[in-house]
Amino acid sequence: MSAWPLSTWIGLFGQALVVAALGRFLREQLASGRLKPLGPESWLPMLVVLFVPLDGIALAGHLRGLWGDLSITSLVILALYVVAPHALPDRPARIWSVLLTLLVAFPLYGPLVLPIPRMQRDAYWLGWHPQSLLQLLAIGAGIAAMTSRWRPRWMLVLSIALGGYAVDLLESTNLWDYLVDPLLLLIFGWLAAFPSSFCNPSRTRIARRVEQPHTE
Amino acid sequence: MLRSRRRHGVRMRALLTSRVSSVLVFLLAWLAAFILAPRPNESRFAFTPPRASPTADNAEFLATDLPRPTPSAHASSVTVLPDGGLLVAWFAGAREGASDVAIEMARVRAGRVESTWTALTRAQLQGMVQRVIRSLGNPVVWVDAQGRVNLHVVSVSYGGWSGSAINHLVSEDGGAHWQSARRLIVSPLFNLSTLVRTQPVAMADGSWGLPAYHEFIEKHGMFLQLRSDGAVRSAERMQKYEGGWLQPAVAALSPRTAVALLRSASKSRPFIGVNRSADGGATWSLGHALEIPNPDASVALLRLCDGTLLLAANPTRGGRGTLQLFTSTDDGATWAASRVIERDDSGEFSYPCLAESPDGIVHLTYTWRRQGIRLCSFGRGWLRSDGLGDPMLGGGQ
Repeated sequence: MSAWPLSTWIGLFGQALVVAALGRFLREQLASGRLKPLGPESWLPMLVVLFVPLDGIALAGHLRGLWGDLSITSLVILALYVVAPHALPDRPARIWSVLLTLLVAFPLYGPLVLPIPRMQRDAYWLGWHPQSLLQLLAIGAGIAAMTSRWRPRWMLVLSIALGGYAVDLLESTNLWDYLVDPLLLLIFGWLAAFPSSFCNPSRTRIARRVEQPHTE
Repeated sequence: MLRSRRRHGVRMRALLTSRVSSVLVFLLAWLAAFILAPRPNESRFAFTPPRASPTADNAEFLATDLPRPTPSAHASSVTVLPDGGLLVAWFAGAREGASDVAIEMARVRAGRVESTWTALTRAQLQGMVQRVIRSLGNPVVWVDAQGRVNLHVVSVSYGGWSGSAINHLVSEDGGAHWQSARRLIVSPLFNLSTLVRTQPVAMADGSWGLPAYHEFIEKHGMFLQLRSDGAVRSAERMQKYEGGWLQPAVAALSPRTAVALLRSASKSRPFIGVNRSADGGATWSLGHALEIPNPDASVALLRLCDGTLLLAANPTRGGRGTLQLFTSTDDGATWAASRVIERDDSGEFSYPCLAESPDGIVHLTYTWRRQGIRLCSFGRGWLRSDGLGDPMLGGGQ
């Protein structure tokens, strides 16, 4: 087991985080009152997914085989949701959720990548030749920094993803795989469709209290 | 004590979430990514100028059946080891796609099978890549500049072959033990449906180009540029005619040019497809399909040391009952029919693979009636002395 590279551990841990976050989300929907960060509804499923074998491999390995590894962005957001929900970045405004969903869904998961083989290159190809993608990110970040659009916590999540890419943290060598994945799209799509979800009143109170001095 | 720790935590959070500090952190991360990201470079194939074949006058032919430990065997791959021996890999089990399918290997020298072994099972690969694996297929075995044996192998976690992914393993002991297992990530959507079948091409900078293909929704060829550690540097799409085209076999023609021949899954155009690259595999353009028929069957392509292109294919409209060789001395513009290796309409002789030893002997492996793998070795002289008088079948640029 110790011979596995770091990317394998991150991949397995990511699957455990998905299940832990799902557990927490369900508990939030069902239970009233405040939930502790990393309560049993989170860590119990994590332990099961990481350590219970099925057909010779941990459950996390089955999930990895099904949908692959998470992006660093998703990993950080899920980890915050499970361990320190009060530190989560602000929910983006509905219009931003819609825009982000479309921006990534269309070129990466829409018809441009999969069923049009006559296209020599597609958006995913840019992730292997990332200079222009990185320059676009810098321009976007520069505009946000000079206006009121800068969101420190979102930018920190993005910074961790970029840092992960710089040191080859995942098995993939494509920059897109560090920034986005289908799960993140699902989350943004969900937020765009149901803007009031993930809105446990107690969590919102905690978040408000903690975030008050440093409004993003 | 507790209060001071809490104050410290609040201060840390404030620092991290302040505009200035987050801008600085972003700048640092962006700079690191920008500096360490791969730079575009001029891609070149490792190309050796043509020389006279040492076996030009050697008309010997030797056929060897490899051991058959299982009812079914398919998709062989052959490579020449640094000691001059041959390493053959194939998948074998109860039937294609069955959970007991494993990668078998054999070491052969001068037509004599020295050893055979089960090189990789589903459970072994599952443990190495830590992903569930239901079945294995299409091994591609090759030796790198350091003399290490590399294995690319297709695996399926859920669904059929169109849900496949490629795994890369390295062996320091000639294929007995495997390490450094890595999954090649080539698609953003669950890394679905990338397969490999044919031999890689060496690049001038020590890296490798791996012909691959995509099957989900559309079938098209791909050319993966790999880093020296086996990770994907880039993936280029090949162009296609109407219908499905897969399993490209690539040969370098010069440091910058290459030709790829593709299996046809197209009902409207059942001929061998052609793609060409003029920039070291960075882009591929469509060529005219060959006039050699293709019954939805894999082909093998090899550039011999004298510059001749050698093609092994099933040149029929239906079925894989005939396996024949073709040669081209004009970089694939025209093709001449050469020796027929097998002919029996009720049989299957398919999925050929070609390799050439430094001594000029050419090796061909293929699936024999789905029951086993046959290895044929012959001199360049045997290839030339066909005596069949087959017409030039023609082709296209």
